Amino acid sequence: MPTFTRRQFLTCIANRSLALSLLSLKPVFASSRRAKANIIIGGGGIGGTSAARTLAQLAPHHNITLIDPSSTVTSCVGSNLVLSGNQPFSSIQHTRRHLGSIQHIRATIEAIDHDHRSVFLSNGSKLSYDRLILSPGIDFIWSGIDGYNELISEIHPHAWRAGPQTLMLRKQIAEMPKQGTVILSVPDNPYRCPPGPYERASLIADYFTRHKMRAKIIIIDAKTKFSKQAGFERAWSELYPNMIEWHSSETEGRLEYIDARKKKIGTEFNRYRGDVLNIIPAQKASELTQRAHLTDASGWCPVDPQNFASTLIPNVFVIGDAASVSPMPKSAFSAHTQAQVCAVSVLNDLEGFKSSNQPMINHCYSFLSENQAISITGVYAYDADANVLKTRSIGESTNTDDWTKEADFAKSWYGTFMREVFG
Amino acid sequence: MLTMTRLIIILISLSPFPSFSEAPFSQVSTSGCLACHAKEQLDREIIPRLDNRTPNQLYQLLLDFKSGQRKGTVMNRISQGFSDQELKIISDRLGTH
Repeated sequence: MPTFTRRQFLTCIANRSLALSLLSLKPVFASSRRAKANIIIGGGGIGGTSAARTLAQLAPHHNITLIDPSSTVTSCVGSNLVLSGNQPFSSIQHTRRHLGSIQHIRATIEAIDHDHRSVFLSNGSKLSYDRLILSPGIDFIWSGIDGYNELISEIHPHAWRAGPQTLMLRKQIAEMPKQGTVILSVPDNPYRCPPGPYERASLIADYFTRHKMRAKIIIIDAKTKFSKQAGFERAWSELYPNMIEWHSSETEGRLEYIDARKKKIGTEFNRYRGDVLNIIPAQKASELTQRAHLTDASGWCPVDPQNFASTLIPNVFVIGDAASVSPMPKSAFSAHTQAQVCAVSVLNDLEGFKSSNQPMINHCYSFLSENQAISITGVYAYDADANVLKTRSIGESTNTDDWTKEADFAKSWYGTFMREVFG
Repeated sequence: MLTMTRLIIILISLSPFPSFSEAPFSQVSTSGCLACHAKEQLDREIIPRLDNRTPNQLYQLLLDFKSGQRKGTVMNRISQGFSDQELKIISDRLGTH
């Protein structure tokens, strides 16, 4: 046990006090050079709205502009409950409220001129920025499956962006024969919401148990394992015996083609016929980011995980599904947490400060049935030594957890989360 | 002894979240909490709110979740991703003083 002399103790205290007094002066210096900056946020989904609201709350003196074509957001979270008829479509529609000092322009960003720090909007106007935060979401990769393209997806909807396709898929499921088959194909990682396809299969099966006891779901997966697998598989065997078949890429190989007219698909080894084809395409960062040279060979936007600054273009930040932030999953909660880290970093950076390492939480629920859910959680933080984002803790519901209680919490969580994001 | 003194000084000067005092803006670590724990709770929302507890009560709860002494649904897992000191800072920010 070390002992300290009085002098050593006082040295410690003096250093601590000095450190504190210096630190407490910093914000005063900061405010003296406080200037109005133009911060533009492109994309008003969960990430973009959270970023804009955080900025407006912390620094209303800046010009904060949110560019998004719509005043209503349809959330992907909760959309599988709409598909299964457990919730109305209106339950996933949210209006941004209490925008405060945020100026909302109903348009999309069409192009970015990095050299002159300006964006060109779909309404013909041009705006300049000091910092640009993009939360543009995903686009789909239409090549790779013969016979499948954007046009075909309007007949056989993917519904992986909640909206009109959600309703179209719901209608097809409701109208299919009582002994029919839904084919659900799942892409390889990374894609938006890793457990989403399996929640979808569970909730369609939940609907079948009420209306079409002899119907089936065949999942054709480009992977050999999936998120929350133990929980999903237990639920499928207990709640929906013989209703859901999961086919791994190990036994199927690649999904090769779709015959949209005959509603048939072919993998490397097998052929299947379905009454409803729900093909979830492979994904990439939104095309805007590609045009703006913000993506790398992976198709996603590389960012510094400390502040979400693009590693390719200065003064541009990318958050949410479009950004490469491994090992954080592409989820709504991740986008929300990233938005806040990014917003705070942008503000500190504008005032000449570097933000410190902030742990980020991801947390999401997947419904197994209307009244049962499982969750996955992760805490992530930047590791300066390795210069990467590291997982501090990760976990999911086990078979001994109370899934009914988790479903109650999931319903509560959705309401609170959406109000926290959209006001 | 000199080395030990230096070490102590460094340890005291470095907090786990230096930016809490260094940089003017820092409200992040608690925001994840508030996405589940409503500030203004509606009737159907059953996830407990946090602002009806003191910082010390919250801190003790978080430590109990972290150690497994108290069983939650997701809080055991989430609390394990934070150091005790970080949990203390979060409790100070979210609890009612």
